[in-house]
Amino acid sequence: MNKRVFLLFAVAVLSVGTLLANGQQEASFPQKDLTAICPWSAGGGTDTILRALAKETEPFLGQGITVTNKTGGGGAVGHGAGISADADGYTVTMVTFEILSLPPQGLVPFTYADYDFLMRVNMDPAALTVPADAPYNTVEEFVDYAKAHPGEINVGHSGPGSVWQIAGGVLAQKAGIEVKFVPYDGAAPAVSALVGQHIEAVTVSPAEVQGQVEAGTLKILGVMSSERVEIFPDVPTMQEEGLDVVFGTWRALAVPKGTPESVQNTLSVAFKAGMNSTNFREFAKNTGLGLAYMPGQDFEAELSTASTDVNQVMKNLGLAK
Amino acid sequence: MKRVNILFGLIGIALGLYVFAVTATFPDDAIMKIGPGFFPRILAVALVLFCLVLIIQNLAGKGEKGESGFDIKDPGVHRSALVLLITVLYAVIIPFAGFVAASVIYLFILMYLMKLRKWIQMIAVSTGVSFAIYFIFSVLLKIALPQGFLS
Amino acid sequence: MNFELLLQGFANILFGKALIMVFLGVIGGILVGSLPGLTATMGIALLVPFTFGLPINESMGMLLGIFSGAIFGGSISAILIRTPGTPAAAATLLDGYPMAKRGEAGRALSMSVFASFIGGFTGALIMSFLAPQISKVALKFGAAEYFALAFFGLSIIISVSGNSIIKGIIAGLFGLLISTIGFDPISGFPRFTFGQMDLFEGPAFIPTLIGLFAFSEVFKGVETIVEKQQVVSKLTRFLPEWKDIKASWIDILKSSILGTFIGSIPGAGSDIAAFVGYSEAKRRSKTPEKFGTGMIEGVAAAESANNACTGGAMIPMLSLGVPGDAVTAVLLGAFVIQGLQPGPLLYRDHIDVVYNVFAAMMIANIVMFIVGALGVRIFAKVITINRNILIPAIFVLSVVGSFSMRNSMFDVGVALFFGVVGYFLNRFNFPASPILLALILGPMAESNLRRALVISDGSPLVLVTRPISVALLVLGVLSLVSSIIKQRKSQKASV
Repeated sequence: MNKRVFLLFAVAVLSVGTLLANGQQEASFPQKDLTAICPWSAGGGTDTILRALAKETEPFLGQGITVTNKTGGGGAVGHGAGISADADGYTVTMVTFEILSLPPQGLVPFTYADYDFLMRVNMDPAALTVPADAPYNTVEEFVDYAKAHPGEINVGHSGPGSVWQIAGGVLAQKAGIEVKFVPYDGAAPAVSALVGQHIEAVTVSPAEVQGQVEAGTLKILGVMSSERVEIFPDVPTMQEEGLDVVFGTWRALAVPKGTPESVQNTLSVAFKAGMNSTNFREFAKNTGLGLAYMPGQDFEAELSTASTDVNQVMKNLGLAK
Repeated sequence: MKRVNILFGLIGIALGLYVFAVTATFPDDAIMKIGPGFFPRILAVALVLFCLVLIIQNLAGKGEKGESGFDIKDPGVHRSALVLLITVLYAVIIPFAGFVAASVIYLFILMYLMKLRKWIQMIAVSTGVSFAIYFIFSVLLKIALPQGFLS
Repeated sequence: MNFELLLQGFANILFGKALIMVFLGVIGGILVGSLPGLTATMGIALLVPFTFGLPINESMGMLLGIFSGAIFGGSISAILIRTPGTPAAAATLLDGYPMAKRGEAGRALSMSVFASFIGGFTGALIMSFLAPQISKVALKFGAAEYFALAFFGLSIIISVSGNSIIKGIIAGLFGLLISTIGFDPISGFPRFTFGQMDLFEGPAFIPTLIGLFAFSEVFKGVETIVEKQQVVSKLTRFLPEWKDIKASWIDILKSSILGTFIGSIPGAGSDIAAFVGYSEAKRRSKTPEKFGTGMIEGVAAAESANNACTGGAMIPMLSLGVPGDAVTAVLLGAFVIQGLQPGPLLYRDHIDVVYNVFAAMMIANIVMFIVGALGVRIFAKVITINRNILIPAIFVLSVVGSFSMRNSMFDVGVALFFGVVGYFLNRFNFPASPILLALILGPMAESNLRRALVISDGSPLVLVTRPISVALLVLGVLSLVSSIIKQRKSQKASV
């Protein structure tokens, strides 16, 4: 075999090989295990949900999903890592509300628009919760009390710039009341402080106070959603109580911008099937998680208005630059 | 020891002054007066004070006696510095080469530096340890270690 | 206390698959705990999704097994290679590692198993009998009390300072300054981060720990090449020798009770408990100056306190639904997944589950004792490995350990940085323990002081008008003064 023929042969083999390889990849994504980035630490709410969802989705993908906690920077590290991952669909990130609240603080070089969203997974409103023996039983009485005692009500939340602080801020603004915000290191310590009556109220999710409310130590005055929540059907919404406040946290699945459409479709179908599995539904019911599936594109449209809203609220609260 | 303690005291004072200077740029909390700079500033002042005490103690000859036992010309110290450098390189290479490949080479080099010359043992240990750690972390506990070009 | 239900609980765990799960959990826990960078929290978090669908007895048996196993497991690497496998074991290395260096790894390890068991079992007992009562006290802890507790903890710095108080204080201040790196806990302003996203929450704790203790030690280790590891520990028994138990039983009991109470306060974890137990033992000792050079009482006190903390942390979780620490926060999730809501409701509607948990906790500690005692011989062998092989292996393990906490190469850099810092501090007689204590307690002190002031509208009176807070502050001042006086005396005696 002379040199030229050999070269031609080699080129031919290589190109056929590449073509085959490409064709195969197109046809059958995924070829290997996936990584799911959780921007929050192992054992937290987001982590638990992602791990449960990953476990239920694996059969539909035919590949394993390894949950990786990339934490730090109040979610900034994980969200950043999810964006800078290869846009091949092998890295999925559980994006949380903080993707809207980090950019206004001028702390991160990215926004929600750097992601392609697969779907929204859940949506949980903030719930205004007070001790069971507090002198107010409705949102209206709470507002009246706060107006009569300006600056005396301590409202606990899960950290500076966190979703629950913003929730409290929106409420105070809409109700025209003056309260003091007390940051805690997460929602659980804030709830503990409320149970111990060191503060007067918290604005966290219904699931985070569920145990205490059912035990009769705390009571929820109102939830900041457009409809009543499933786990507390007797608790009115803020809108019913005359305050137009709809605010809460959400979690969504996303891949880096530019991921091939077909790959995104495969992922969306698989994760949706995972979400609909009986096990995951039971998990959501037990943990009080407000499942709220929304297709990626619809959710992106919603985010564009939400991000300007959050920006505005944070400016008013003095949290944004 | 005396000179070293004075040097450390000076470093501490420099650090304290630096912290104090930086906290001046922190915003004051509008409501509370006690802002993000409050705690670091107290610490910086305390650090400067205690470092001054350390320096004065040593100038007055009241510090610890004896030598520090640290000699910059000691070949052992050079070896430590070299190992530090190699470890930094190792950390840089892991994401590209993958954990197992990088670790095998790294372990081999370290054992060589520790004057081990039993080649078969060195190869066996470096491969064995790397794979064992990989197995425990990545396979058993599902904690993703970088795979590099092997993925 | 209903003994019939407790007996039923024991039967449920012992005569079912649950017992196997406890064993698996304990073994897994010891493994996870002894590996630097893998904590009890992480081990449990990784397994929780797989317990979904398991009966509650089996899932709790396994998770509580991991919990007990991991907290004990941390002491293994603390003693053998000066790397606390979990933060809880940080106080254990102070005397455990010097013992191992002296050739007494086996003695230290068997004491650690024994003390861990007594501590863990006492914690489980107190939890079973007094949970509702204790949790009422725990709820009294507000921001002012947490600050006072942190202040009391920080007063221990002097007693872990070694022979120079001034250097100990400087090291402590350095640690406190490091703990201020990152978002301000109250206003959210990023401090000393140099614009680095990875520093927004400060240098991660585990990598810092690995740097200060493990890396600094192996850097020292490569300096002097010894042909063979000469320290071989004679191990002929499973249990600590009678004289060791006799020397430390008061410390073990004291630490067990202290540890349980500290554990029951939400937010105060086993790392703090271990240090408090350690310093109590040192305060009581007739030869406090020998602490830090390999005193068996030091290992006993630290290990019984941190394992007692596991039972303590379960108290508010079970009876109030409020997690006592990071691990019980994840455990709480494991209950919720099963559709059980810990708290008064669990006591009312599922009292059988509560008693099963009591039984599982006690059995987990017994299993941990058996596995640990049998394993001591194997663990202790680690130190007989040729140093030329062991040290390179510790390097790799330290890199992996600091990486795996947050899957971050930046953290490996953090560990190396603190390795160099620790090396020099060590070289020049600056103790590393005050830095560690400061890193644990600094954020707690600062955030709670400022939180208390937010709630009180800026009036510092809040710190001295509440009984628990005052008591703790007074204890802190007393401990400061007494340890300075003691330190002076022992210095004069030695000069």
